[in-house]
Amino acid sequence: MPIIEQVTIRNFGPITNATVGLSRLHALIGPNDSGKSMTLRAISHFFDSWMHRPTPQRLNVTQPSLRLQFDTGQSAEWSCDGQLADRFEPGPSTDPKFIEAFDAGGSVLRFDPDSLRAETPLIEDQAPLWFSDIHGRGLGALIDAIQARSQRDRDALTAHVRSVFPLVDEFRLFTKEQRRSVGVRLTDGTEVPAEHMSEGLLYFLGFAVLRFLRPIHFVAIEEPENGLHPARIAEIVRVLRALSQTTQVLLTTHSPLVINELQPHEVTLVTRTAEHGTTFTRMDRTPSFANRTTAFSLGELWLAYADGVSEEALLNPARR
Amino acid sequence: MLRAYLCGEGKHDMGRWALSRRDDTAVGDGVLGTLARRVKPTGWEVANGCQWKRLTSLRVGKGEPPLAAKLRQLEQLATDSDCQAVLFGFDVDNRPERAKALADALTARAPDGLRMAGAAVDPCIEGWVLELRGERPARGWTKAGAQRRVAELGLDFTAAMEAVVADWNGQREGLSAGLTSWLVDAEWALSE
Repeated sequence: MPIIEQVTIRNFGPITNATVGLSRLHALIGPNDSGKSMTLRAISHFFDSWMHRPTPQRLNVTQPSLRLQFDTGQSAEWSCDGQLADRFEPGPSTDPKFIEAFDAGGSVLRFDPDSLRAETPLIEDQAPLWFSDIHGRGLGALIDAIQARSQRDRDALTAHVRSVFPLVDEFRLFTKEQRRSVGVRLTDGTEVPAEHMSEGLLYFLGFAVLRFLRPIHFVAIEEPENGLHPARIAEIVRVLRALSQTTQVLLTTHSPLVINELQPHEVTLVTRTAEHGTTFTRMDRTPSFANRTTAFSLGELWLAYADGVSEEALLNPARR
Repeated sequence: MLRAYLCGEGKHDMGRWALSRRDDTAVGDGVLGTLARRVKPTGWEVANGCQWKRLTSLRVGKGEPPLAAKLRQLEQLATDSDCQAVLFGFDVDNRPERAKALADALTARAPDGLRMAGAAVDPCIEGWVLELRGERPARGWTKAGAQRRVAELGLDFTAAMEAVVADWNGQREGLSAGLTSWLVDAEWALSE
């Protein structure tokens, strides 16, 4: 799987012209309204456009363009003349054969508990497994399909959930008019339907099923820490790191605990000024990084230096 | 001019250095900054500062004790600001184990680190303010007792506490061991 090593984005919301380097598992951090989510949307829009999927959210942007550089040395360019429509057009330098590698597609996930709880139609045999929308709708049907298709996957998923939530014994899927919703049976025999499941368990299940779904090229996940106990966050990052062996994973996060689980080259600080728009700075390329990380872990560094506005102290060299 | 970095629990300890840049309503350096000025009037300035709560150890159980980690963070922040000395106070809040933890963390510091004047403030900065006025019960103040007494005296705002320090007669006799050692350390840390 070719990895997107670098993305240059032009004219996407606050991003006038900026380049971000990525790794297999990568997190964008920074103040609110700095352009993190727009970066995810720009990249995922490329995949939507390539897969001929309608764009989930029509973006009010003019003459946007995107250039992707891969670890294979190849690159691909897309641009759009005028208002962004449903489709990017490949640039002249893009090798059509190379583009075929992206038929696996990409997706954005921004889980919310109501969608994860929702009843959704059963998935047909052989149909590719993925969520019905970016909010995690279809979780019950996905678990149903995973269980039906592979005993090994069924056992692995159940064992994983039990290891993190020891009170859970097994999945209990609820059916109503050919629609499935997820539930669990506890070790004391209590059956817990979706509407009574904790948000933390629902979020965890959303991430835990990812490795059993149709392999895709790229997944962008917004704020994976939502709803999770701090002690569970390391486990979620472990799940995402395992997933990143087959699917490139890009996160946005506001949690120092998430970036504490990442390597310095896997974290990029996103900032925005009126003059330059959005800019990207990899954490290990911020000033005095080597000295500062003798005293601070990545998450601690962010907490101690960031101000939530310009992150000036993090980006400016030390006085001496 | 020697540059000092200030760290404390809040506005009373460290004045304007406890506030964000956008709420710079205080002008003084708090009780700690004013106290240091009493033992070393010239030749130094407070260049920067932060509150203890900004120093966060997210690695509890994974290595060194949290307070030792925070002292290293404090030293790094001071170094970033090109400071040669650190002045700090750490509230004990009537918990002797906090004083012991601080003593252990200070002992564990690298010998070639920045000059650091730091002490366990027992029980909180209001207790030190009352000591400087000559008020110290035989068994010391409780945190609530010190805060209540300061309020009774109409001294429960930063500028009033700084004024108490400025008016202190300089006599160290009768002061608690923590305050006395802090004054000695501050004089040393701010010396050329």
